[in-house]
Amino acid sequence: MTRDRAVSITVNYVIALAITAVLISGLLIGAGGYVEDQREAVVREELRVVGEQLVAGIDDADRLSRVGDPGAVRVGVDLPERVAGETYLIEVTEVRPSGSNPSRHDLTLRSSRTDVSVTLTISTLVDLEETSVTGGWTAVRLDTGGAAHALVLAEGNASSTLALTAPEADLGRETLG
Amino acid sequence: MADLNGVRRGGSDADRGQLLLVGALSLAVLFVALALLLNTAIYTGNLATREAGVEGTEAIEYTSASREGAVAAIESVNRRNDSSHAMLSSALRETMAAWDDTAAHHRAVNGDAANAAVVGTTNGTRVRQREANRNFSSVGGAPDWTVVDGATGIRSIRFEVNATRLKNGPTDSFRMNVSSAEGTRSLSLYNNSTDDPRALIDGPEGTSVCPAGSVTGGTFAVDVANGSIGGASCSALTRLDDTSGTVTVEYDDGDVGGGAYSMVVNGTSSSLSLPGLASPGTDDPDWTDALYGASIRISYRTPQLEYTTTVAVVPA
Repeated sequence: MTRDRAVSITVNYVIALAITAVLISGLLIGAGGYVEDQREAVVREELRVVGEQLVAGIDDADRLSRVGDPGAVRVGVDLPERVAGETYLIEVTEVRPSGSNPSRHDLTLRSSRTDVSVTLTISTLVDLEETSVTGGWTAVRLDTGGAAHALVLAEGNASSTLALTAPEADLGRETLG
Repeated sequence: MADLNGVRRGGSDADRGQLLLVGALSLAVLFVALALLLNTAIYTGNLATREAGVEGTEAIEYTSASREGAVAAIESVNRRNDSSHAMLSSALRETMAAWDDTAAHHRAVNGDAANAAVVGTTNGTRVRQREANRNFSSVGGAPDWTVVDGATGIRSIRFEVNATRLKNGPTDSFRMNVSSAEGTRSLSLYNNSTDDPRALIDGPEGTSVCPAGSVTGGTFAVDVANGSIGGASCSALTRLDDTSGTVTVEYDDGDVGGGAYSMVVNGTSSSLSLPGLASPGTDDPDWTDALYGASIRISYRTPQLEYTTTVAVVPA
């Protein structure tokens, strides 16, 4: 009997410790998983919003490119550089080439760390080149160099590509006569 | 054992609650992460409802307004001036420059730089008969004659027809033929049995007959571009100036129709064949220099957008 003294206290202590550890780690794992799920949901939602803004910009460029004989079309879309703290990649892949029908492209936005991807389909009357750019300020430019005009996505920053470009030499008044 | 207990008891006093503390701290960190995510979600909601920030609509509106302005300017210049192509071109550039000044100020309020300038004009020739009491014969009096040959386009065909001179029934009535690569389309003007004017439009698409809306003071207007006769709609009329390639306009039986008319063709008097018309201002009908159309270069710049385009403007 004397040798068994304090055993119950130790057992009691170890059991209490184990139960507490199991409960707390269960809570942590559960909450961690929940937070991770929420994070992916938030990233997916934000990528969708960002994608739709880019689609609006491409649509604007498409519309502008079809008026008259376009010389220069450049539409800047101010997208956030990060979504929920991660960088992301925008990828354009062709689904159906342009012909008599509008061309159809998939716009895939993929986050770098959680690898969440969102795909939007866009139809344009002017062709869109397959390309990929990293998220951030994006310009949709009309490439008039080739046989058929095509829209190109380009990364860059607003100040160096648009606002500070030199104005056209003859932007002002035409000479009369 | 007693010693051990004593030591353990002393030690556990200091360590008690360590696991709970670490667990609580970890949970707190998770809650903070959740709060940050919630913040991002709210920001996303804000981003989604924000305007995309692209002024594509404004640029298109400006382009469309410039085009309308240029159409009005070409019409006004042609109406007020028939001296020479150089004078007309100069007048158009001045008119557009004045329009551009006003429009650019208007856009500058939003911080947008807009510009519209004439970069080229297409010389044309206006064919007209001003004397409303004359019949539709040539200057030499021939009833069947070629009005214009060798033109590459035709627009703004308008007649002020004297209804009393028209023949009854479509047979051998006054007829205008417009021939091009699209085929020959013709417009016949005649009175029906109750003396109400009718227009008969014939062409590859078939035959249509339109009654005149109203006859005022014995005259009614035929406006091909508008597709109207005496104010009543006649959509078949608009087929007449739908041409491609070389355009020839002929009048048949011009002696059974009379009134004033005018039309503008693409081509200068030196490149056109105008055998039945008098030199400008000397007799009726005559031809004068006119502008057929123009090219306008439009540029629109905002911090988000750079846009330059050239649009061809041809009035209806």
